[in-house]
Amino acid sequence: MSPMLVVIKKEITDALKNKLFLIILGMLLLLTIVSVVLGSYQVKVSLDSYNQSISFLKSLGKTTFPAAPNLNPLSSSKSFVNYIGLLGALLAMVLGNASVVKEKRSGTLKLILSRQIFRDTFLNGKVIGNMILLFAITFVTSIITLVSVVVISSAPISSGDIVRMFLFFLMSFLYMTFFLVLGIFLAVLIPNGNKALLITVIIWLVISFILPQIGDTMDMDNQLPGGFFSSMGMNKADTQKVLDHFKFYETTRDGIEQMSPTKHYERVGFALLNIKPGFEQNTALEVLSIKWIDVLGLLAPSIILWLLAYMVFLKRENIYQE
Amino acid sequence: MNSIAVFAKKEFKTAYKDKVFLVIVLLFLLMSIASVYIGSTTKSAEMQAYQDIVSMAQSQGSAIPTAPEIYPLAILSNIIEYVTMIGAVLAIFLGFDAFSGERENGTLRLLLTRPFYRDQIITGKLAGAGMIIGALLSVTLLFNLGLFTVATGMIPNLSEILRLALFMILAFVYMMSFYIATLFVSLKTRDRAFGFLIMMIVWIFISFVIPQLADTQRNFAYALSSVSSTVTQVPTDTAISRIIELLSPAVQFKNISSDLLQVVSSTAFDSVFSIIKKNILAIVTIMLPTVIFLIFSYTSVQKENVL
Repeated sequence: MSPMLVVIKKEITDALKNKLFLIILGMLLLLTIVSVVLGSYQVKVSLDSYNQSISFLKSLGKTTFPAAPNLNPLSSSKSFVNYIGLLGALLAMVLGNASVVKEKRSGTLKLILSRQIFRDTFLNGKVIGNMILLFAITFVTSIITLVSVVVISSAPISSGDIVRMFLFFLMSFLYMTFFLVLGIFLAVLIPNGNKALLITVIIWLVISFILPQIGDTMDMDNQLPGGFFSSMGMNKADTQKVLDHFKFYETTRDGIEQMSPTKHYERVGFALLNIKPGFEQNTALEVLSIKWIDVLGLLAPSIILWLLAYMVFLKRENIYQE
Repeated sequence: MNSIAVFAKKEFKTAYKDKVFLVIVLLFLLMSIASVYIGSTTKSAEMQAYQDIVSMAQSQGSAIPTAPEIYPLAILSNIIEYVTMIGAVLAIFLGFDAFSGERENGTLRLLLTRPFYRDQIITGKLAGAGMIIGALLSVTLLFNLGLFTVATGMIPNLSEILRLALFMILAFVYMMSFYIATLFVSLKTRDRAFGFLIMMIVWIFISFVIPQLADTQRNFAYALSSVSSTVTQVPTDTAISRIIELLSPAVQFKNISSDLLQVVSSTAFDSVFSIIKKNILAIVTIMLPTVIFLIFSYTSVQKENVL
């Protein structure tokens, strides 16, 4: 077995023995099941109610029927976006930090680096092993979601919907990968493992909570329940006319949001799940091409951090010291 | 100096020597101060947008909409989010190695050979944390009052100062509740990183997961009522969603704070006492876990296995 495969296998086995990882994973799966089952049931209730109305109208001899309500079976994953943003990110950070810190603490890093294994092979094994775990988690949750939607909601689900759903889960995987790589990078960079974990959490706090919160606060339409512009009786065209006068303000607000991978994940996720209106007529790939900047916002930071982790890990002589 | 004061002083000094803790303190102060700026910029943009809408309505000859109501303290309302998010995490940062750190460094064993009671260690640590959080919130209060005056050009009246002061007291209680829970976890766990992450999970649940579950239930009730066309089409609180939210001190803190900082128009001019009376259950929800964890901490520290 190649050295990289050994590291990958060890990473997976270690994670499955990590109590904290198992606690967070259990919670994530439980919350996913609860939210998806409730969401699917909500779709089913709407569908049943519509079918009952049609049967009633038919019994009255009517021939014209109201249009079917917009049943979006994909919307059952809406809460999942938030759970991944919170627990998924924490899970990935724990994995990333533990993968390096455990080796430093137990002294095995020194031992491993004295063996015939290149440092980059070792780091690749760490990253790939944990990515496999994250991929397995997203795959399992996507299957749970798909089965729940099909079995519970009974709503018609097209192949396009299935592709959208899988692409959404792929985005969730990319999002968690970002935090995994961030955890690894900081654990490699900062000699003290606990300090590395705390700094990772601070960065998560800033990019996942503070930046989106500032963006939301600055959104003029968020100032009143139901929307500021709606409360003023304005339509979409008039709203746009007013917003055109606030280009600098809106660009600043958008710029703050663009700094957050969480916001990118939310934007592309909501577009794929048809939660954000305006993407119903597009195919899944078209949605991705429209939202390419958000996909890039998820991918680019992970790649940069991975490269930085390489640079630090390959160059530093005292990397095994804590 | 008595033992409690010595412990409190040591906690205070140690915290401000920790660089990571200083980063989060700085973040808290920065965001609290920036919140006034963000709040006033947003409100002035809203008023400008309203002026544009009025001009548009006049040129089209249509009816002029009523101006949005803006209450002075609402400019400071962003700070509610920052206390819920950064404030709680700051308290966790402060407490996660309060005991496990002493244990790992070997100083706990040494401390317990000295002539003082074990409960004095807890009281001293609580007093130290209280001083740190209190000092931080006092600085925030002063900055907010100053910036409020600069941003709005208004001098806050007695009622507004009272509301703001009460909000800060509530924020203190909220942050201390996280500190006390973390102190208990620190007493019980051997690994400080494990204790810290356990508290982060608790924070996620209290601040985000429980409100999200309540929201899901509200939307579910809305879907049921809207398809049967029996009740209002607007999602409103249900008995179940309110019960779910009672499990979250964060939601209760946000509810009382929204009343105090004039975010809710219906209570914007109520007296402070009527706001307290209205939110008494919410206050109990915040206080109850704090008291329970405090009792647990005092009893746990007496046991031999604390070492």
